[in-house]
Amino acid sequence: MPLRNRVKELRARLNINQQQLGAMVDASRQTISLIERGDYSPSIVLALKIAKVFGVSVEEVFILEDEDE
Amino acid sequence: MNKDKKVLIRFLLIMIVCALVGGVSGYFMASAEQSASALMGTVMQLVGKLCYPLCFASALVLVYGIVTYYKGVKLMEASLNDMDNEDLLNQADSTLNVATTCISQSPMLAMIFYGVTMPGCLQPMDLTPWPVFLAQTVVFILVLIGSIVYQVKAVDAVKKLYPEKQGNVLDFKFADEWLKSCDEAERQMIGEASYYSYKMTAAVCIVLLLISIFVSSTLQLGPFPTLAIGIVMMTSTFSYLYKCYLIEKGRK
Repeated sequence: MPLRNRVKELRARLNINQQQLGAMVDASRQTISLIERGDYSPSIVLALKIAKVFGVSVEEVFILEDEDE
Repeated sequence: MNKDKKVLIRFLLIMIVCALVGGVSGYFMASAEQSASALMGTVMQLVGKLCYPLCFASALVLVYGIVTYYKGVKLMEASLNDMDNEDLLNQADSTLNVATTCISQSPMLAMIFYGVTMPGCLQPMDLTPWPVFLAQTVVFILVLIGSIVYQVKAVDAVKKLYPEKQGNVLDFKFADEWLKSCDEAERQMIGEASYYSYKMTAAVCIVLLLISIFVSSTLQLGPFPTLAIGIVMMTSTFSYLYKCYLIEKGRK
């Protein structure tokens, strides 16, 4: 089931680059890039860490797309 | 007809065709042993002639890797001054990846082609072109030294791009240290790539084993080629299965 995300949009609001976000959540810049492109679905732990940095819930960052859509 | 039955029928047909091809090939190899032996001898001489220049070609792979490394370093330095430019960062990353690949593969190529053209391997020692062999030896040593020096430099450049990465290329525990510093996405990538590598190694080893058995029937190769390929195949399979078992049991 595909997973959409708003990581790039929320990162731009905080005015931080991929490297900085990666350092905050113990992930590499490359992983943040893969997540933003939708090429990698993060683990629960990483998703929670990202949501915590943005100060929002996980569901507001990562959206599960309905198969019917 | 359900899918499993179709798969079984296809598998059985392939096995029957392979058995027929193997049987017919074996019969012709045995009945035309002398001409097959002469043909193999000619093929070996051609292989030897190709391998002499290919040993020098491995140096070209290293040179390409070094040139790409310097391009990668320029891109890396530019991207470190502009951390918001994601395209530049990705370009620096992929250029350094290409450089690391070429630099790390060049000594493998040099070793293979140098080993194949060793005096006495493809032709008698008294027919070996000694000046060519000495030149090859010098190129082989230079490729080894160059690849070590530039692997260290290339990994240091990647570590500047990704400061969280750990490990010294000269340390025997480098692969373990590097893996420990990888995050979940990188580990998944390594896992998928390793599984693909395991499948390819198994397929190639089976083909090489069959070729080795056929060739051994006409040329006096001894047991070493068949044993070497078999050991590689079994090591790959058993180490993969054993690691899967350990991970399943919750042990590292």
